[in-house]
Amino acid sequence: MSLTSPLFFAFLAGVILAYHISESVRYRRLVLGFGNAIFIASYLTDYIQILPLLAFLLLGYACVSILSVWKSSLALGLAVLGVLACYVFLKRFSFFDDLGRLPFPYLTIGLSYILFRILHIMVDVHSGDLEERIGPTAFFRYTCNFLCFVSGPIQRYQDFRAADGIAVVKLDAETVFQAFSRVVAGYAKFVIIAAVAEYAFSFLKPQLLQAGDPSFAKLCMLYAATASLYTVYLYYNFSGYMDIVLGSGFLLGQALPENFDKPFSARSFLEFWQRWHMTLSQWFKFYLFNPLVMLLMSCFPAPALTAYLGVFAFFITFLVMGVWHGTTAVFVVYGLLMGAGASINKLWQVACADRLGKKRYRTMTETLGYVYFARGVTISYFVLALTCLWTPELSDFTRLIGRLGPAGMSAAFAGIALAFGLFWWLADQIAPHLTAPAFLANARDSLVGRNLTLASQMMVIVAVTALLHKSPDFVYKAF
Amino acid sequence: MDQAQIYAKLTSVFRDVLDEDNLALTPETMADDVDGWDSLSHIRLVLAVSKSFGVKFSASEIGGLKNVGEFVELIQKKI
Repeated sequence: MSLTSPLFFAFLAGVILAYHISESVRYRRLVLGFGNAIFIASYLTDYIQILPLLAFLLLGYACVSILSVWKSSLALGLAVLGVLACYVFLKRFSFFDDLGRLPFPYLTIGLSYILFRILHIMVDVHSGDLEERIGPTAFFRYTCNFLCFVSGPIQRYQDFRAADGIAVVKLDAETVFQAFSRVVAGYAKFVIIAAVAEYAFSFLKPQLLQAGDPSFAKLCMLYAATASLYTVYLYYNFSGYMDIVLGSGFLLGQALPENFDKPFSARSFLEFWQRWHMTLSQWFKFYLFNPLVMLLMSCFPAPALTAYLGVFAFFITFLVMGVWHGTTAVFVVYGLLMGAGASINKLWQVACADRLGKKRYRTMTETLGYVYFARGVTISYFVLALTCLWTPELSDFTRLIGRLGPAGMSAAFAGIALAFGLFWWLADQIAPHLTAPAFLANARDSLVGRNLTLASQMMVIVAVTALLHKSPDFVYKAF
Repeated sequence: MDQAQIYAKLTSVFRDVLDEDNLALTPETMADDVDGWDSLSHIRLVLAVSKSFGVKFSASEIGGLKNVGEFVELIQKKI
């Protein structure tokens, strides 16, 4: 069921009511487990569609159980390989077509995030960070938590366990208001901003991809506008979704981790990924980047090589993270672009620190011109790299890039960087002057004011949904 | 080894790895407070601390460290 459907509202209300009938931990865990099962079942039209997911979960649980008694590195290596091989097969990566496919349609939604959770448990059980034996029902509740099932956030098992039916939740007016505010803010992002951006994007994309012969300037502007609109759509769609998930979590005692922290204010590509899809970035940092850097530093201990080992590790980490986003060849291009962005960013930092010295480099990064230039360039690079996500067929992607050529790509890059840099400069100039008079701020923050604001947001959501005649889907569901 | 001895030894490791002779550590010291303590030098610090104290750290321990105080507590737990 879609998180924007009335069915999800009814389901969520049912789970919350059932959860609060009793304070018994066993009962609450039962409610959460059934909730997960019902949520997953809503995606099925035939029982056979669930079998591959069940097999994947069983394999994961078997690996975790084995690792809890046999903590050898060989066992961990075999378990990771086994789970990854099963994931690649079930996810139907186009480059592994020769492996064959299951002869029936089945559920793949949520598989990527279940993979991250299983790998995290396996590594932590092996290292001794997770010493308790995880029961099969706790494993199911964690890996298939309906709030995070489709697209995260990726919560650590240790944090999940601390709240799993145990957390004390007081459904007082303040908690419920906070939860509703967050959920409504999410819907506002989802069905107003993201939907309008998608509407405009869907209008421009065919014009851009069709085999016409527009002027060079028009082609560049069309591309820059289409790519920028997709980025706006993606961000508000995904962060709105997260607001709905996190707000719903408040009512079930689940303090799920935040996934976004003003990503478009980032001054570098590396900082951007500390603010965008943060739980994914953190997962990759914990379980790929850090171990890889440790391995490299153990092999090449000279301190002078540190930065260059880092450049290589950033490239590999971002390449894998990029490739994970899809199953077609164009996502390898996306991975290469992510890897290149991270590596170039690190090389730039190293070169500047070497040439200017750490203090002068830091001073330079604080200057007004550098801040807006860096923000513009960072956003522009990400916007253009995202082209891979809206042209998932390699032929469409190469045709578009071929038509633009190096000059067109450079012009689009410069145009987007300039537009976003100027936007941020203007926003920072105007924002401090937008403080409401004290009496208006007091009225807004009063009980009536807060509820009126919430109610008007709901009215706007209903109006825009009716106007657009459709409820947008969640874009990250496909990844 | 008590906390004061751990701090003294840890400060020496930090000064050596980050090449900052006047670096002083407090429990609240975080990566953002120290020039040069980034994600790469963090791993170099972990490797140097592992060698110096004869302890090993797991992936989630390495990634989850928020400040020097947590680092010291973790070392104290392991030695």
